[in-house]
Amino acid sequence: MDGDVPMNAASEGASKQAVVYATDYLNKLSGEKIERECKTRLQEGCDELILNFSQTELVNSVGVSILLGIIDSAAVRGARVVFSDVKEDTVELFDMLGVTKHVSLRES
Amino acid sequence: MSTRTAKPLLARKHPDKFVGRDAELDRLYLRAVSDMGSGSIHLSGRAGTGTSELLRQLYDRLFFEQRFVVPFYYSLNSRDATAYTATANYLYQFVLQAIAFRRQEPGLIASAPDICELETLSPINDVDWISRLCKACKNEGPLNDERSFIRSSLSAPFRASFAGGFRAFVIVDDLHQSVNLENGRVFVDEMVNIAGRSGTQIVLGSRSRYSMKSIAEQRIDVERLDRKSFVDLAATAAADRGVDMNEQSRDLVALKFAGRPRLLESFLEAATSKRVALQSYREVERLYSKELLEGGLGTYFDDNFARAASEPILRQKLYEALYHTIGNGNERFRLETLRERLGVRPDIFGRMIDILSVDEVLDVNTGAAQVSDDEILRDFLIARHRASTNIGSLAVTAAQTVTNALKRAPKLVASDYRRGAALGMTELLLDFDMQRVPRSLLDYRLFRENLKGLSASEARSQIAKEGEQMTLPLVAHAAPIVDHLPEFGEPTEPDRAVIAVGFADRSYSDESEIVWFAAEIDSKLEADYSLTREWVDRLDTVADKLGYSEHKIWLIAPEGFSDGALDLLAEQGGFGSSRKQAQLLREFLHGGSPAKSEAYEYEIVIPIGEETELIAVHAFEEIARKYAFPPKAVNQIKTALVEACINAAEHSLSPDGKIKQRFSVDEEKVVIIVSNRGMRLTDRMPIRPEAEGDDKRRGWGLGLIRSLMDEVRIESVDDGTQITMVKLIKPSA
Repeated sequence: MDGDVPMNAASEGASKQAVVYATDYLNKLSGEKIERECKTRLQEGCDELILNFSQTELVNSVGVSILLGIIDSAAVRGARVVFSDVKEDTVELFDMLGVTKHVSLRES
Repeated sequence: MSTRTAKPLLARKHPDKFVGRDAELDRLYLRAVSDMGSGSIHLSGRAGTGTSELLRQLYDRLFFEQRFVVPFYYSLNSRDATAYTATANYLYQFVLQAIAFRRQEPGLIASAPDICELETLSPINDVDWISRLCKACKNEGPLNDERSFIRSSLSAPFRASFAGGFRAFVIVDDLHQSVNLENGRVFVDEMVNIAGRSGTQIVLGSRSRYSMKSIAEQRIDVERLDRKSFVDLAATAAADRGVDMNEQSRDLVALKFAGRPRLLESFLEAATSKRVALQSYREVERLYSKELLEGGLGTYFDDNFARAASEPILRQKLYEALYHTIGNGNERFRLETLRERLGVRPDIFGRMIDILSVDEVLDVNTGAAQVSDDEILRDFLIARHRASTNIGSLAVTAAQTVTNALKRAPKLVASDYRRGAALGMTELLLDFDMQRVPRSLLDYRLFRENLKGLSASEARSQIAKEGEQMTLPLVAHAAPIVDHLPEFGEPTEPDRAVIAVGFADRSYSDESEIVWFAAEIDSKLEADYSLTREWVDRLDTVADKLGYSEHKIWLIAPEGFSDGALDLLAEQGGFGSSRKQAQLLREFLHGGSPAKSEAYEYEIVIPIGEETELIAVHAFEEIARKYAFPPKAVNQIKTALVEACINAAEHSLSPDGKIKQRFSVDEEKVVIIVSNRGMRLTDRMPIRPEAEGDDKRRGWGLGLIRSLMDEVRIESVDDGTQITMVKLIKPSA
């Protein structure tokens, strides 16, 4: 939500593991950017996608539905998805929508 | 309120649209159906307050909602011309309504069968008493004399109830119309006698001004609807008629017709038939002027005057005479002077004055009168005068009427705003009731030293510890000064300057009698000596005029008083307080707990567009910061708010592309209403149950909102959807 935070999902890492940073507001727009980034990484052969939510303050249901799409795509390719640095309120929201059943949560 | 869905029978409104009279209606209904036995009630109200509609609603409810009591409603009507005809109609109406009730055929009442046909419709177990009454109805003339016929017929429902083994509940309305009937008083006197007998249950309805023998075990004065109920009524009535009216216009309309539903509805009816939108003061006043000059409002007053003076030349003379009295400061005039001016016989004039008094055109008292304090009546008299002097030029009269009304509109509304913001001095004084209170709640000097600058909670705890106490008097009666002295009306509002009369102790002796003059005065800073002096002199003058030599003055100014002003008040044995003190005093008198604060409302409209919901979220964050909402609740509300906005943006096909949010915040909760125009939620295609893949992952928004908030209501309104979300706020740990 802070205008200074870049909206592009950033990523780093080598062939096996990729870290993708979610922005402060996870919605359709930013979710699709993350999705594109994740798909690129998966196509490059990444087998563990780490989505970092350290900057994420607000999440909406459309953004969550995109995350589930990313989890599906990863599963098809045999990759696993990890959510890192998720704020407590966001964890509760992911729980409500059943997202946490499909991913591991971790602190970086 | 009843939720019956049947169409109204005698009532003019569906019960769900009958606003603001639930308490009176429930009380009368319970009285009718309970086994409390007999006892009559006299229900009176000012013209146009809806007293008759209340009685018709009572009848409908008794007709549809119970089977034990046979209801009967009769309204005295000037068209009956004589008491005899009115009585014959009364008898017929009773037989008709009783058969309709016993057969549970409401349609029978409107079909108005003749008396011979009615007899054939009576249920088998009612044949005997109905036949007897039908015979009485069929008689061309009274069997003995007119008075005996009237007496016997008016008590027929009770004889019938004895014969038929049921209980009758009789409602006789509009008794004041007796002034328009030949021998009308006989009808009323006989009715009153019957109502006074044991074993009868009668409600007698009349205008407040109509005087009749006190018979009723109970008298209910139906007050005009309070402002809020009347504003609600105006909004509902406009919506029902499809009148396009905004909030400003609604408030002006509610003020103009204050508490008179009949005139309000006539006005809105005109807006519908003339297809006039009421979106500005100008549109309201244009229609109002038109209606006064040549529409329903004018007809209403013309009809009243026509009953008093049927001859047009006499009527015009009456208009002119009354117009000149209001032009002359509306001073009282001698009735005999008016009679001479009109040149009518004393007996005709007496009847004329009776009618004008009952219709609330004149306030009559011991040989003198003045035009009632009624802005619409005054506007009518001015319009009629202008119409007669601008012969052939209705346009000129219309222009004058509408410009004058427009000039007055902002003042009328401003005066209402001031009234709304007033402390409510009358109630405050009546709450005194000999209570011991900390002196700093009245004495501004002590308040300034001990309490000023403290937060509300700090002030409360300081007040609880304060040692210096005083005992307030017991106020037996408190009323605006203008009620005692009408010329005091300017420049203050009625409720802002009050006289309270009572006792300093409970001995209730002459010696302990006290009089307080209390007034709320305006000053941006601490009120200074000269302003205070002006008010003290003013109130002393009022006291002199009213003969109160011993009195105390209590002034309240928003920011309190300067030292010089306080010294002046102290010399008089009076007090000066700030508005904050008065609010704390009220709180203290009500048990020390803070008055339940009203909700604060915030409104924001956002365009539907990329991430515009974040604007709403930011606005809410500011609100949450102001009220120190717990962070967890804030996050949950933000998510729910975003979901509600997405819902509106994605599915509504909104024609104006806007989403409106209203945040209502009080100490216990926040209520958020998100609304938009466009496709209603109920009209949209549901998510397919068999949806798979991406489809299955959508449509969670409403479920999420329900999980995050404490209460959620989703309503389809005429042109869109409204989601109301409530979150209970628990204080931060």
